[in-house]
Amino acid sequence: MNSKTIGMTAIMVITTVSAFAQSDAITKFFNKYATDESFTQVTVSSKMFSLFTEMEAETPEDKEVLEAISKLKGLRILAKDDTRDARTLYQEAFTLIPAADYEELMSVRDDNKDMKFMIRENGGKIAELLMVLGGADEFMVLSLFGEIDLKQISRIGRRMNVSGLENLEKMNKKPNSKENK
Amino acid sequence: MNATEKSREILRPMLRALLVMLMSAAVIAASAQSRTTEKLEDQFEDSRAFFFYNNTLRMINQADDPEFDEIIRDIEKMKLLIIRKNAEGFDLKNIARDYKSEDFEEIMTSRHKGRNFDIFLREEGGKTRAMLALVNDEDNLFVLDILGSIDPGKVAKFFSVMDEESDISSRIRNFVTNDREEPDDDDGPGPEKGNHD
Repeated sequence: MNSKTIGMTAIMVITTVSAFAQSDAITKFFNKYATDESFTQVTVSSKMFSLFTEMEAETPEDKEVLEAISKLKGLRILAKDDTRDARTLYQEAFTLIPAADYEELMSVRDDNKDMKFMIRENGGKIAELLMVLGGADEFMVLSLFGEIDLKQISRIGRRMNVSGLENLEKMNKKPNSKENK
Repeated sequence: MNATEKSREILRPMLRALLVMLMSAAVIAASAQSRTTEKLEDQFEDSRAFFFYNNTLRMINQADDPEFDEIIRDIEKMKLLIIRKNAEGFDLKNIARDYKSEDFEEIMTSRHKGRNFDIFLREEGGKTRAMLALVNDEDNLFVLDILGSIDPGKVAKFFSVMDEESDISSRIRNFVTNDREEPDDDDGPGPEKGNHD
């Protein structure tokens, strides 16, 4: 293998990895509050998702969910409860999210909470699902990245059993909701 | 029989004995819990250690929560170590580094209400062999060293059950906080204390 081929391979690997990584803007937002103890933070690595491939599927439906989970590369959640800053944080999140990179999928207003679901595509595949939630006293940003199968998203939320992911079920309940655009 | 064959004849039983010893050592190493946990227990003499075997965990589940039984199904044993963070020589970064050097890989981190959770796993032959949770708050580091595995979809649930207010966690808390007192009869059987490796 000559040096040119090695160089090309390295570039392709880096491109593939970065395609399924979080966007820089969201990373900056998470990092801004990384040391703030008043925020709840959850980070799940690709290793955790790969564990689902070890599991035996009991039904064809279960198999589809496990396959969808095994294609995920990471999950990050940043949340703050019982806060007066919830609306400010909600607005701040949108000032940092590059509108050109994300496409809004749907908005939901539920129990005085606003939720926006956005996706970032790469090569025709969904590389990141972003959910921003703002209520009277609660705020949350959830970023799920990897290769995302939207058809399985609510089942992924249930199967993973990570607090915060239950909000993804809203996507299947109100597929065409645009109540808060 | 020439000299080479003779020496082979002499060495064969010795090699066989050595092989048996190596295999036994490998089995012991594979079945024991983490060396780092043992080292921590020795280093921090004031730390408190609790041992739970699969049947002990089942007995703690007095409410017969079927989900909890399912979660702990593949746990062989679990050691809980509580270390005061102001103990001499305590260094959280070094502790995490020591676990990583034992092939523990981080799968999840979380911070909630002043508590930091780091969850690791160790694989052997592509299968999960051990799991570890380092939970630290303002005063203590809780080391939960698990031999066996937990369904990945229930990892978060398991640690939240162990941490948050639930029948099971309150029973464990009672044992942990009143470890010098005898538990009430109503509290059911407790974890074993001391070295059970």
